[in-house]
Amino acid sequence: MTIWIAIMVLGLISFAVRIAPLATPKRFRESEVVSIFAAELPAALMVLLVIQSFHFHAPWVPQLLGLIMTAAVHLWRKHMLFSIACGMAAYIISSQVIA
Amino acid sequence: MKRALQNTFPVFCAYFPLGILFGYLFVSMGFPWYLAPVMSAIVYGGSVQFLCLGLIASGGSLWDIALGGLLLSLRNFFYGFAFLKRKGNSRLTHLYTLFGLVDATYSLLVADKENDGKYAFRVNWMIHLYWIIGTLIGSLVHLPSLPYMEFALPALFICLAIDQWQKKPALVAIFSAITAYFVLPAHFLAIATFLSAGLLISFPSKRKEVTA
Repeated sequence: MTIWIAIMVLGLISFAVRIAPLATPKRFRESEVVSIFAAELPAALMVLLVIQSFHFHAPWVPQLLGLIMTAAVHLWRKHMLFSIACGMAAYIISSQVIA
Repeated sequence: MKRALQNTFPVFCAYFPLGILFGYLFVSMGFPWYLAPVMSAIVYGGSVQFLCLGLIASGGSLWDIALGGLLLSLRNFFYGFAFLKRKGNSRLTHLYTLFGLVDATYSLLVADKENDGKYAFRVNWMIHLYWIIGTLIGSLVHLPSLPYMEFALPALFICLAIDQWQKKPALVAIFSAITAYFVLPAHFLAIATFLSAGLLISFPSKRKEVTA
């Protein structure tokens, strides 16, 4: 199979899926369902993305320590780059200690 | 411009090395180097692109690839609903903004209180570019992969989860995640997203939420 065709097909799928909300009828967009999508789904998705990005096959401890550190610093200072930097540091140091 | 650069920096740390890895894997499968950045530009979905390589390597058909790609990218369908208004964008830049709503872009923008279309467009092309340039570099030169950078994405997502925190959706997400893991771990995110959406609609909150 030529990779070209796979790229074109997947590109078409990406584009179609992502702009599809524009093609939904106005009545649907102003419905309760969409207001739930907008108000509550982001919070649920963020939690899912955290779980999804956790590598269950890799050692858990450095990841957990890193996440706890990131969360704690973020709750304290609310500065994202700083929180991520502290979390990365905790992750790297604990990975080194364990290895 | 400065704010967009600053806010997308964590995404740069995550997507740029991932792009390099993708580019490297792409050429190591014997495909021409110039198609790797083309794929990152027009498919623009890390998980879909890696899945495609995996399926080709294991002898999957075009149908397998299309179906897998569709399943993985279905969650993006929900992202668009928060960005239906153009907010100062032209028709074209608005379409591009919708197309560019990958996990990190959506996460950053949906958390943004000012919610300005021009800023959304800027964040979009920046992150898209990180991904494309990373891929290009990975397909051209064999760089050693950066250690520990894999943690940038979980760290970014947990910050955004805290910013967006709401008890009910979070519990729904955890329940959906556990269920999806037992049902079909291979399509964990797609199933968990649909399950969360379904549960949130089936059990609406009492108080009236303001539509974005």
